[in-house]
Parts: sequence; structure tokens; C-alpha cells
Amino acid sequence: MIEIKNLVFQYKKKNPLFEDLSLRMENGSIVGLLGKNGAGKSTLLNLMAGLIPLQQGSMIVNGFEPCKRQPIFLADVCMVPEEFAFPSISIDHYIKATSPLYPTFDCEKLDRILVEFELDRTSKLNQLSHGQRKKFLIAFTLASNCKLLILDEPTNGLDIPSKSLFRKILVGSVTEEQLVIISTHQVKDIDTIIDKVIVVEKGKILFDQTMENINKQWYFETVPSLNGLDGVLYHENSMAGYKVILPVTDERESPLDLELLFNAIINHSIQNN
Amino acid sequence: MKTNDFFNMKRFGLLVKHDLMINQNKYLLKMLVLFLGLYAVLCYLMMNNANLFCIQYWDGHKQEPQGYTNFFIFGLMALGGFVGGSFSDLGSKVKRTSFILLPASTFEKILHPFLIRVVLGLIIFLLFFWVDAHLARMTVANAPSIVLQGLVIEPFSYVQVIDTWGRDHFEQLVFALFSLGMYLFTIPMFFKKQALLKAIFALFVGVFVYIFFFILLSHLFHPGIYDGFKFSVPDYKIYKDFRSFDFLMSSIGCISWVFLLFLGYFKLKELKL
Repeated sequence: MIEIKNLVFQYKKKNPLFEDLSLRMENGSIVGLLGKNGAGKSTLLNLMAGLIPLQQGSMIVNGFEPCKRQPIFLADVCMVPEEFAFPSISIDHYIKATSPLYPTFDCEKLDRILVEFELDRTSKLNQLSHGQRKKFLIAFTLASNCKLLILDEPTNGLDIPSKSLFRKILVGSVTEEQLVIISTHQVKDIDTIIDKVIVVEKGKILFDQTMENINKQWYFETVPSLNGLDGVLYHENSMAGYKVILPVTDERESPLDLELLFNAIINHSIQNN
Repeated sequence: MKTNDFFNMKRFGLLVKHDLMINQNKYLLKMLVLFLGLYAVLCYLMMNNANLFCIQYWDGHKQEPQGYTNFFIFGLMALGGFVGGSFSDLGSKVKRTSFILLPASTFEKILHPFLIRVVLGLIIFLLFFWVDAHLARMTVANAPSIVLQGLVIEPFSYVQVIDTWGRDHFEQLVFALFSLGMYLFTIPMFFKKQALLKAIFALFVGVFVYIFFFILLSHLFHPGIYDGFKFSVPDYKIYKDFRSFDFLMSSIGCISWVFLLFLGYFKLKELKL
């Protein structure tokens, strides 16, 4: 569980990134952290992982203050950063060297994921493509079984089959004790797997809703024309006409169009109720 | 503070194992280069300056071979370079992320490179130097193509090094070298790129400022007596043969390593992306 209260953060010689930001995330969910470039998504993830110190406010992650970097806290946090580097050793060697540091690491789970990602344990990490290395890092992170999994742009560099495989594996491997935070610009890659959407904008939480609440409140549809439609909250041109967001007035539900929702939130057409 | 947050033997063992496994090729290569490099240079020196490795008599005094000790100092410099690379990964943001997220305490993270690079590095260096000195002597003495013009190369022993350095000040010298090693171990943490070179440059700047301070004081308190870069160091007898200047140098040499280790620990603790 993550609980952030009145967070204030500012990089040197820059405007404050977060001013009085408060946020709560429960375990047992996959959270999509969205925002425009420079909104502070990566900074927020780095703060949660203890990579940068807190300036003001409080942040509790799984009962620990991340900036203290207690070993027991670090053993329960695993991160897929946007940029990463591996030593020039084989996958098998890396696993044998690193996995014992994570007490909850599941080698069998890792083997299953490696098979699904078509990765060979004997392959040299530095001879793999960027996408393959990313798949290995995702596999390692999921197999760590850490309570907090932070994935920063996890689908960048993955091919189309790998992206769908990533979604399948992620949904199948996350337990009720775990919290997964995914930060991405490629919202279509995660729209079917997340339980909660958080949108960060100008240092504030612009939107924080569970999928259940979103489905209860808004309806996503593609229509040939806007004529005759009442109460359109947001619309965008599309090949088939218009993509629209409408308020839910009856029991009907629609598949979430996360990109459309994100644009509506950024344009303040939809508010966090 | 819980002891487990500070040091745990099992976790520390895993961290050392992790480092040795990840960097095993790098370490083996460095060991090979050290072994062959010491051997090759010792052979070269013995062939070209055999008199440096022989007992010499002058003015009725016996002088132990100087060649081994002189080259031993160069070897220690190479070891200093190895020690100075302990935290070279921290210069890269990507590797810094991996380092911070390693599930271990700050104390363990500074102790494990100390153990591997300083303690094990020194033991291996001393062993290699001894073996190489004997191998080189046997090679040069038994090679029929090499003419030593009647000179007999003395076998190497560490007693020669101790005698050359002087038994009276041996402990102070060892502590001073250890302090220098700790300087190279910790100060590169404060620089991102070319950290070791910058640390060595900073040392020279520090020494220059130190000397300049004495020059300034000499000119201030003894005007007209000292000119240009000449200076005096206040020196008086404290107890028997123990002089104030000895006390000053001993203090710097023997105590600064403690300060440097604490400095390194807190720098590592406050490390951020």
C-alpha cells in the first residue's frame, strides 16, 4: 500500500513539480499512472522506490519510508526503469547472482515466463535486442514477487505479440498482496489490465478513479455523427466518425477507451468526482 | 535502529556473492593483467637494471636491493587504481538506479567493495607480487641468452620492503598508505564522470592549498625571512624524539581514513538519481 500526504517536490532551479500532492494506492491492484511529458510520473515512481529523497510531506510504502532505503523495504520493491543496463553475462548467470537477494523470488515462475517470452537462459544479456532485454527484466520483476512492482514504460520496445503476452502474463502473475504501478504513454497497451487510472498534471492528481467507477459514470462509443447526441462530455474525430464520451444513464457498459479518457481529462472535459 | 537494518551476515554474503558473480570476468581479467604485468615488468627491469635487484655495498654499508621496493610502490599505485574504481558504476544514472535498489543496507553496500577491492585486492596483490618476483628472478637467472655480468639477483622478501621503508616509521607509513587508499575508495563517489582522475586531481589541489597555507603563514609571521615559495613548518619536540611535525603527519596519515570512511558512508546513504 502506498500513502502519500501533502507531497512537495522541486528540482533545483526549476518550478515546483508537486505541490501538496496526496495519493493512496491499495495492494491487489494494477494502477495506470498517466500524464503528459514532464508531468512528474517518473519522479513520482522514483520517490516511491526511494531513488530520490522526499523534500516535504510524507510517503509510506508498505509501511516504510522509501527514502530510508531499509533493506527489508528494498527487498520488497522491484522496478523496471525506462532505461536499464545489464552486465555482459548470461541470463542464467544473472538469475543465480541476483535472485537470492529477493527472498520471495519464484524461480519456477520465472522459467514459465521466460518460456512464454521465448527467452533462452543461456543467452548473453548484452547480445539480446533491447526488446528481449526488456522482456527479461519484466520476467525477472514479476518473478521477484515483490509487494510493489514499478513498471516505467514497460511496453516501450516490445513488438506487438510481446505486448499482448506482457498483458496476459502480468494479469496472471499478480496476487492480492501486490501493487503494480505502470507508467506509460502507450495507454492502449494497458487499458485492458488496469484496475485504477491516475492522471498527473502540473504537479497535481487530476484524476484518480477505479475502473469500476469509470464504467459506472462514463460510456465510450464511436458514432458516425454528433447530431442527435445529448450530453456529449468529450469527442474526437476518428476514421469512423467521432469517438465520444457520454454519461452513463442506464445499466449499459462499454469497453474503456483509455486514450480518449486521458485526452478528456487533460482537456478538463471530465473531472475527478 | 534495528541491527538487521544495518548489517545481516546472510544478506551481506549474498551481496558479496552477487558482486563476484556479476563481475567475475572483469575481476579475473584484472587479476590476469596484474599477474602477467608484474611478471613482465619485473623481468624487463631485472634484465636491464640487474644491479637494482642485487645487494650493494658502499662506504662499508650493506644496502638491500632497491628495485623490488621501488617497483612495489608502482604496483601499489595500480592497486590504488583498482580500489578507486570501487564505485565507478555510480557515474551512470542507469547503474546508479540498480545500485540503490539492491536489497542491502548502505553499510553492506560500502563494506562489500571494501572487502573485495581493498582486503582481497591487497592480499592478491601481495601474493602475486611475491610469486612474480620469484618467477621473474628464476626466469632471468636461468635464461642462457641473458647475461647478468656476474651480478646475483637477490630473492625477494617483504622484509626488504619493510627495511627499505624503515622499521621505525613502518606503521605510520602503512596507515598513511591505507588513508590514501581510503581516499581513492571514497572520494570518486563525489564525481560523476572520470571520477578517479578528478579525485586524484582534487588530492593534488588539496596538497597545493595545504602547502600554500604554510607559505602564507610563513610570509605573515616571518616577513622578510622567507621569500617566494619557501616556508617553515613550526616544529618542536613533544616527547623524546617525537616532534610536532611527526605528530601532524601521523595524525593525517593514521586518522584520516576513519573520517574518509564515514564521509563515504554518508555520501552513499544520501545518494540519489
